[in-house]
Amino acid sequence: MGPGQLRIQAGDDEIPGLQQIAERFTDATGVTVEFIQREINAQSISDFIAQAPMGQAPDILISPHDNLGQLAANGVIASVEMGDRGEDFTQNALTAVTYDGVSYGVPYAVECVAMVRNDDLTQDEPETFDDLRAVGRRLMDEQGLQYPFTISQSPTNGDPYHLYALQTSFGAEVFARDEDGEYLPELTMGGSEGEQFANYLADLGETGDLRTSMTPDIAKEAFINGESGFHLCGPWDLVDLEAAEMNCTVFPIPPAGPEEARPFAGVQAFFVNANGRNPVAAQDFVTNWITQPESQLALYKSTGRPPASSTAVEQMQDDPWRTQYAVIAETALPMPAIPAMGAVWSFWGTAQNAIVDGRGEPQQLWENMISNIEGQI
Amino acid sequence: MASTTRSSAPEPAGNSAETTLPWGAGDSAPATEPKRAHSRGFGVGFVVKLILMALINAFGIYGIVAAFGVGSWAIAVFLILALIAANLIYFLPGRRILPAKYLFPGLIFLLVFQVFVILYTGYTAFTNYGDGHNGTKEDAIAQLEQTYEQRVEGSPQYPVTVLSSDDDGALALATLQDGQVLVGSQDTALAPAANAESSDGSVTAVDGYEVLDYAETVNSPEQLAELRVPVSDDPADGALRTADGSTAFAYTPTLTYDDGQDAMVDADGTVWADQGTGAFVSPDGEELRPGWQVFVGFDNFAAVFDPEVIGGPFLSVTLWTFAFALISVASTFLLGLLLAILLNDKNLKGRNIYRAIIFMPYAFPMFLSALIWAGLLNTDYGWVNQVLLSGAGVPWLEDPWMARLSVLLVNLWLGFPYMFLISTGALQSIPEELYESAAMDGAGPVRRFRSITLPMLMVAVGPLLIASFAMNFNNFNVIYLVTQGGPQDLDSTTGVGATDILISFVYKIAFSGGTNDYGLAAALSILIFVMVAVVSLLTFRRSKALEEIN
Repeated sequence: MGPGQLRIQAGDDEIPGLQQIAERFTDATGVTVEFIQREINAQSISDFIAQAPMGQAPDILISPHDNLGQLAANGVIASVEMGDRGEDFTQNALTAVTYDGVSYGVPYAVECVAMVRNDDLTQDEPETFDDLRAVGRRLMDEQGLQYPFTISQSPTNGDPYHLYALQTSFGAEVFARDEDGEYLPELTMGGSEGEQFANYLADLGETGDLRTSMTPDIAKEAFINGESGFHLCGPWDLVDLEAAEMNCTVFPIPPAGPEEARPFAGVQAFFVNANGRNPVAAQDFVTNWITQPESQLALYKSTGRPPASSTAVEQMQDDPWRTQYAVIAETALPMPAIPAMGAVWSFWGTAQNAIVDGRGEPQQLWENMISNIEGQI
Repeated sequence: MASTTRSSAPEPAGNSAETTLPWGAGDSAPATEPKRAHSRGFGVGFVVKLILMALINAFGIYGIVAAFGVGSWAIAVFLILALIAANLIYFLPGRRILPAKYLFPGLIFLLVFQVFVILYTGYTAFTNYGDGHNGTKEDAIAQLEQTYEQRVEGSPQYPVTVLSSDDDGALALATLQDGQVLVGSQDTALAPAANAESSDGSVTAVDGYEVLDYAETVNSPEQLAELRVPVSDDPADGALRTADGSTAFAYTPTLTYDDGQDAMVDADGTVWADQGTGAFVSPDGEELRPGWQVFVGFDNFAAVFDPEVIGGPFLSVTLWTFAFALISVASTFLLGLLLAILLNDKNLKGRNIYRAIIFMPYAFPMFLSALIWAGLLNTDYGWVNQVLLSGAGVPWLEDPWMARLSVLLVNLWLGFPYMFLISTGALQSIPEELYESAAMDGAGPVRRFRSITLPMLMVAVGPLLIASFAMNFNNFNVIYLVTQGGPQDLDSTTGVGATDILISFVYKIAFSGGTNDYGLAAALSILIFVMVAVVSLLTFRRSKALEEIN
């Protein structure tokens, strides 16, 4: 009997890089690798969870780590111990794949948002977010730009993800964390820190600096067309900026409050099906092959996502933008994967939108949101 | 299948003789031929039937074997019964089973795609199937024991080789330490092996054991998952477990299943007991995840009316759902009918071009149209506000009532071409003479419309309007793509929005926020089904009365 087959569910941008790794893997072990191309969303995660107990789901799933809580609570993924092979990874990447004290995955990329500056329009390096707004306003007056800065929002759901760095700069983190950096289902967005942020949001809305109707496409297009000097975005927008041959610099988001502005870090990771058909080969593939720096680089090249391995990050000299993103990601806060986060997302964005649009008193709206979320948790 | 065999009926000469050559009618074949089952002779029809049945049998038997292979007994039994029935129906002689030959394929599809789905939804509504209650109790116990093992602090990483005992084939692990080969198995701790060889830092041979190669290692996942090799005689040192067959770590268990009390026991003595809720529960009420599926009776239905869950907004959402469905049907039908009447004038030049243009919205993919509409209605950047209203800033999707109006308008745009189409068809089928005689009797245009057009139209269109109502009642796509049910009611803990209809509300409750609750969703689906069924039944009665007028 041969060593069989591995089935890996991956996105279309991951497959070219994975194919190179899989070729080496097959040469060494004889295990053939089949790819199932599917984008990760709520539906594909639900399908994986429904199919896994029947032994139908793929052996390996690549997913952002914020789905980890749901996958682990359903018992469909196996614990993955990297041991010494995890030493090369950044602390954020390792924390993100740990749930309830158990390590479940092998990370390959860490993403977060940062500030991108159009160097052709300005060379300013604002220290605080208010400085940035002032520079943006000056550019509007002097050079006739449309916006002081651009940032992705959603008129229906809001976009707390892109605004989180501003929120943390006031010290209002979403959940409390234990000494290992793992999140506890204890909401910490309230209090005076949260209220200060709510007031700041209301001010951003009142001045028109921040608009809830600015969807991702509108924000990106405006920046590419030179209508704004600063663009708050993740590394996924870089491809289009490169295509437009823009002259840009990436730097951390300047804080709006007294503390450091720390965005969310999203970690892309490999998870192993607990009821897969070939679990030993799957564990071998993720722990011994994906952890190699050259595999991490191959995935970086095919996806454009900053790698999770420090060695791989050091080998990206010809890509200053993404190197900068990788450096910023080290101080970012991993997105919570605990189930309580589901309750947060549904109220968080709509409350922020209401504040920015001036539909009520900011502190009152923020307090309502806190009590609604606490009611659901 | 029936039609193919019929068209290739045997003795075509006999048939044609009957119809075109009357003098050939003396032959007895044409008279008896239609009565004989055309597939019982050995003509072309029989061969075709034989091939088709052979394919069906082959496919069915493959399905049965596959179902047995994965232990799906219910599917296997269903396939066996269906296959036996198919063979009996198509091979048994006799006219009495003739109707069955036509009905059988339809019945099978009905069972698979309708009856099964309805029964399964009904079954799910009484379970707690959802996130955290995904599989069986055995799966949950195995997963909990596997997951809650703690790596012994400060313990090294062990490169290991998997061995198989020559005596009983039980697995063992070998590792190299300071050039010395250590071997251990399930019951015996790691100990130096007497006759062992190693090269390049890996164990190559051990006396009394066979060294497994890669293929053999990955092909014994169950044994490997259960294998725990004690590091030493001291349990505190932990036991080695390898997940990938080449690297092992020392673990101590933190949760173990106790058969006697049917509970998970923590390392610190906490007992997590099974209290029938589909999870192990600690004395202070905390639940272990994963749990498993159990029956919960009417709990899911009770949740619908529990104000803490969704009982609060349930009534207002139901009212809006009825309003949305009724207004959508009425507005699309009225606009469609109006345009159909206008373009029904035979004297109108180029009316086919107008018809084609009116039909356009129906030809676009509905998903695309709905998403584009959401963009057009954007308050600051949307084309409607920017160009049509020159920067008016109308909050199309942000104000509750404007958002309701917006989804109705988008749905009107999406839906009127269909109504236009069916109305045009129905108008053309009304006999011209009726209008002529009505005109002779002195009826004016309004009277003719009320007494002839409308009743005649409703007979043809009525059932379609009911179908359209049922479709709009569950028109998830338009709501989700245009507003996602928003704007959200900021005071409600359920996350309900102003434009949420029942089905989008169910989706929010049961699936959004990363937690799936299939049991609750199934219970709500059944309630929605009952509502649509009652409304349809009542209106069908009315449209039947209409038919009797005719």
